[in-house]
Amino acid sequence: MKFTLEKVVPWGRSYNEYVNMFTLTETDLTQRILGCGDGPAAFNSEATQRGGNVISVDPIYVFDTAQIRGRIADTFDVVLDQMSKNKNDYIWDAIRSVEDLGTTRMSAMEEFLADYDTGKQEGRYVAGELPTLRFDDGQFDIALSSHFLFLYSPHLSTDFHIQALNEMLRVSREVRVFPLLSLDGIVSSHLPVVTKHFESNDFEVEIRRVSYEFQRGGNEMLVLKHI
Amino acid sequence: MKDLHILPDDLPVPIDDGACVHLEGRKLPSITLASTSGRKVDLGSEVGRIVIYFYPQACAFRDHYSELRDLGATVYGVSAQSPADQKEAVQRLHLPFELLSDGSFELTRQLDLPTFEYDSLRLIKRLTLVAEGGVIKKVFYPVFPPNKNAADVIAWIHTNAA
Repeated sequence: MKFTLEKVVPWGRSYNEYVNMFTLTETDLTQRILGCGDGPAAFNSEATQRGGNVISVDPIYVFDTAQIRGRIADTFDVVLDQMSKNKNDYIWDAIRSVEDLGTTRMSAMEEFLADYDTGKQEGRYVAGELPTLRFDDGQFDIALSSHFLFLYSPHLSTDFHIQALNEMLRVSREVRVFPLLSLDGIVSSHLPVVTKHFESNDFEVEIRRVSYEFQRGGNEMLVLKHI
Repeated sequence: MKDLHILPDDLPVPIDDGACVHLEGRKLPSITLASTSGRKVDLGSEVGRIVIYFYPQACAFRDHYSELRDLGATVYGVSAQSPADQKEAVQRLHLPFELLSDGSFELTRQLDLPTFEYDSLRLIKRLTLVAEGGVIKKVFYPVFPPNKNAADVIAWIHTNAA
């Protein structure tokens, strides 16, 4: 199936949200980090400004700045309206209101867009899609998956999850995935099979509590490591 | 650290793809649309100044509504959503103006308005029209960020009031 702009709903998170979702320490942030499915998040841009070493991979990076900005403008209202309808499924604390969410997300996406051309030239935004990554074995220290694996559980099989995580573990010594909930707010049905698979294949598997919680109950990440 | 809760004033707008250049000077067609007030509205027969917000889903212009009303403008929101969805939005968002449903895309087709796809749904892109005597006088497109548009519309009416 061809990947078209009509299929994309760009929605980007901020650097601080990444730090909190994945409990990224000062040391972690000096490592070689791969962000899988980062989309229009501001993490790469701000991490790079702070002297970090981040590469993001996402299918939307086949599009140019104008295309992504146009699509953000089209879909922005719809996403916010859906959030407004499902307000009770979220915790309005760090993000105070739906309006505040719109502003915060738009700021993050603008930061991404401002960095996008440069980042692409520098090889920091790479078009690609799990479960295949065009990177070398062990090229990264930490590979992140934000709001993709587990979240879209009804659309992606258990096998897909295992393949994707295997691929992330091929290119990186550690993998972190957030959240563990699917879109309906329930812990992903793939999680038990996935954790068992990696435990029995001699990886260190941990479900770790994080300080970030926006989707109600979404406050844990999965950490996989080579032993 | 920059404040993410405030958008910069110089936020770049999306490129104008020219999808609305044909609209200024056009007559509004005579099509009857269902309103959230329960009545039917024919925009083509509205003789006064009207401001029409076309939007994909939800329409958060209530903050400027009274200013527009003071300027003698009647405000409508038009989307392709069903009347039931629009009624839910009016209640949830406490909208003080009527929403009209172009669920059949008849108005969209006759005015040749830009649409886009979202999750297999066809939705009308955000744009704002100011009409007087049934004729489109001003088009705002693309509209971005959405929350700034009402102020632009008010400024335009102030400057161009007939």
